[in-house]
Amino acid sequence: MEHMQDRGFDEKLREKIGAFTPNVPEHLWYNIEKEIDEQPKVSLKRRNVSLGWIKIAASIGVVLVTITLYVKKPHEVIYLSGKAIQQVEQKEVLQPQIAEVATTNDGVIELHADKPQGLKEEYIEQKPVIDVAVQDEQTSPHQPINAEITRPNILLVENHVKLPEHIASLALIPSEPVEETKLKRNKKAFAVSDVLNYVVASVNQGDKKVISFANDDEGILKIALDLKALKTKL
Amino acid sequence: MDLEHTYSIEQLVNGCKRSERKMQEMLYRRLAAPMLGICLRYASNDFEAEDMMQTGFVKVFKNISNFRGEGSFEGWIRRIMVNTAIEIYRKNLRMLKTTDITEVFDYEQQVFDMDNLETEDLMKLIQQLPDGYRIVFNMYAIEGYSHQEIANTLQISEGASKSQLSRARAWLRNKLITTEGEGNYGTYAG
Repeated sequence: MEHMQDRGFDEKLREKIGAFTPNVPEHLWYNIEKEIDEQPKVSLKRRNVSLGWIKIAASIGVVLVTITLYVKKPHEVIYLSGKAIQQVEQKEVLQPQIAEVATTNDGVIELHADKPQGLKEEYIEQKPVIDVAVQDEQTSPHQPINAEITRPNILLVENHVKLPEHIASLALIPSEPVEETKLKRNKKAFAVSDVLNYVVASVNQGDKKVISFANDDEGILKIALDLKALKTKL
Repeated sequence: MDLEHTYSIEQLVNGCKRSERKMQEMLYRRLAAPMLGICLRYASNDFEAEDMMQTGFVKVFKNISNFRGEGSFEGWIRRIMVNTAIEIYRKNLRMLKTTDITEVFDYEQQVFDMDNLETEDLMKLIQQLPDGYRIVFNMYAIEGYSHQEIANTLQISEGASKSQLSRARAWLRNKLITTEGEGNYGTYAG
């Protein structure tokens, strides 16, 4: 019974309220319109700014990639075109035979070996040892080497010549590598900033450089940002 | 002579999906009155109802692309208004005075005539309902939601929903009798 009463009450209320049409104030639509217009829209200016940042980020990315490639560039290996070193057969070495030991008046001991046949008494002609790996003008890499190496018989003569101290000390001073010095002089100093500037210049071709790099005397890399150029670009 | 072309709801909705301002305004003018009626029932006063409707219509225009036309557009917009009312209610942190269903509000079994009652007066009475009572009463008695749906939406128990409804009815009956006694309108015979 109570439940039925509730149903009837709700129904009657629904009927009454359903027919109700209130007057809508005019200002409500303007408020709604205003609120719809306030929806966040990406403005053209904002879009340009974000595009500018994308360009800058892309430039920096290109610079970084270039640096990485430059640093990690594999060293060029030049292979010589010559053949492998050929082993030159050595002829049987004639062993010197000490025949007699003579002491001169100056206290020098002279060892006189037996003279093998065919050898000159006074001087022994020494033939040069040919290193096949190093080519000179006369040796072609494709020609067989027919050089004969004959080791001379050794005549041991011990001379006790005492060098003066100032001359002896000169021998200890290493001589300056001449070729290396020449190379260093010819080699141009090539700083990282040169590479960076080259990349940035190629990126900003035709316009002012937004970003530029320089090395100071101590070799510290400095980055300069031209805000005016940046503003113009944006 | 009215030269303005009358568009169907479907045409208006399509125009709104293209963000055509004229179509948006026409749709608003077509549905503003019934939607304000809903908001008035859920709000405690006219200003709150207007705020509610404004928020609801902005939501409608922002999300109209999500309407696929599977149900009626009026039903869709109505649900948005009710949900907006619930959101505002939650935002205002009006706590429901939840009581168990066993504590049924005791009211006098009096009879009264509702026919002579002006709809505007009835709306005023509904607006005067305590917040918790009003929202449950509107959702159950007018919109037709079940207690389970109300409980899920308002995050209360079903018992609390029933209790709120019972109290809302009793409160309204009491008010109607009081008003009747003051001679404003006739009696309602059950």
